[in-house]
Amino acid sequence: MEDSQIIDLYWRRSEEAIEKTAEKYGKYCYRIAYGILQDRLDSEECVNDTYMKAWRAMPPKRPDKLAAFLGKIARSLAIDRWRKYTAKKRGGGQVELVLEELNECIGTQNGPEQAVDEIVLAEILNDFVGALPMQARKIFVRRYWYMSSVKEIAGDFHFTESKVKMILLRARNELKERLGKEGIVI
Amino acid sequence: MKGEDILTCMGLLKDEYILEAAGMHKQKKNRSYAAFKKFAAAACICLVVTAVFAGIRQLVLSRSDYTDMAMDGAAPQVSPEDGHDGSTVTDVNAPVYYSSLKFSYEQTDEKMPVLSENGIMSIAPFDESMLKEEGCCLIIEGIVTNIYTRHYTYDTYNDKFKKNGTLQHITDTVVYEIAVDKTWYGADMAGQTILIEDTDYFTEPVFYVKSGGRYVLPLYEYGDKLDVADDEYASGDIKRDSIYSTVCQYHPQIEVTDDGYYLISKDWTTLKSVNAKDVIMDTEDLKDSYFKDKMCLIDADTFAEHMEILVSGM
Repeated sequence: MEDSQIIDLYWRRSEEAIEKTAEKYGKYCYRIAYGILQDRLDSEECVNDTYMKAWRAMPPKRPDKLAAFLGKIARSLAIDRWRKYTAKKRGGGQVELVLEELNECIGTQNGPEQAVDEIVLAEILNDFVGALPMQARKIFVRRYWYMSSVKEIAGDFHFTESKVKMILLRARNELKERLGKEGIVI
Repeated sequence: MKGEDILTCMGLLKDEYILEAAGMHKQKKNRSYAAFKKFAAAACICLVVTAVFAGIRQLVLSRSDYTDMAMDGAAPQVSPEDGHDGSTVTDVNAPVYYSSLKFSYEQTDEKMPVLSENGIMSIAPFDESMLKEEGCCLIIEGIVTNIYTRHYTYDTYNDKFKKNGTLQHITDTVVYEIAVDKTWYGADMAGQTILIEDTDYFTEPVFYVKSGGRYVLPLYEYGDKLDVADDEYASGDIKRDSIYSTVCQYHPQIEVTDDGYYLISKDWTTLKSVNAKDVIMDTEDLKDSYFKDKMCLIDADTFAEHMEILVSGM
């Protein structure tokens, strides 16, 4: 079913909307959630919460790209759930590794931690990601948006894990430089 | 600022980047097709009873012989034990419509000429092993700058109608002029303009090699003279314009979109990857075509990687 038809179902408040969403994007959303939570039950709950949130959002929303819209909801919910587990000393998987890697982009900060404007940072990130060569961009997004493991990315791109790590390292170094130029990190 | 801030703000990444990484972004809409003005006056008459196509085999297409080249990415099982479920974000197929792909040729209603009406023209199933079997010596990528037909009239010795008699043959070939900008295999032809002379072409219009289009073509050395089959050559011009011919002319050639994606048929088993996107051939003339659900789209980087694997085995 076309995305526009699925969105129409939401707007008509038809229960078939969730069924069709699950059919087309259930696996996609599950994959995003699992990449963060590394737990089947939690990921399934997260996906169900995604459908509920989508149901509440449409109408009035009418997203251009339904996959990205659902993916963002799933990712946000999964990260929230992960934060709760981290607070309770649970969890595992890729998120800690990803955070360690992203912390490299911040470097050592002297003085008090700077608050950062989310919108400004998002704009910088979009600009940075957009300027990456296509392959590096895909790998960067797979790692830091989808939280795919290096092994998984290597398998999908038919690269060695070393090559993927090198591509990510270069991208992080460039991001660090860019954040420095923007005055966000010192 | 903390790394977690970056993680959170990544949530505001543009949709196109998110979908691109999952292999789900769509191409921009703009389409045009080739002009076949050069073919308007082309004649296609065969007077002889013997086959005029060198190297053509009459085989019966048997669809049951094909393995359905279904896309990789069937849903693998989750195995939480190792923390890696093996599935990818590309498992979700958001196919691309052919009508949304962008190509640099003009649309036309003109038809390609029939090069021969002899025999039952059937198509042999394509397999990558044909590259080796046919003696592929070059795989080039370039833009077709000109297409024309070559007309041959020649005689061979033949006793069929009278002792020491001759038989007249009339045949046409199609010649493509290609400005090569990349060589994937073989002697480097980048920067050169070469001719490729084929004795036949795939007869589904959407798969014609079109002037202005960009293609990846595997070639073999046919030779500088037309093959006169089993007869002894008597007289006439059989000198070809090109020594090169396309390997497997009865098959959709690899076509490159304006934004650098490669449209291939799924029987390119090495070139096809898990990231390949199904292409829905939403053209009216492909309703009953075998290839209507056998085409897929690959990004440039993936194509390059897989082509390297393919040629390393040649």
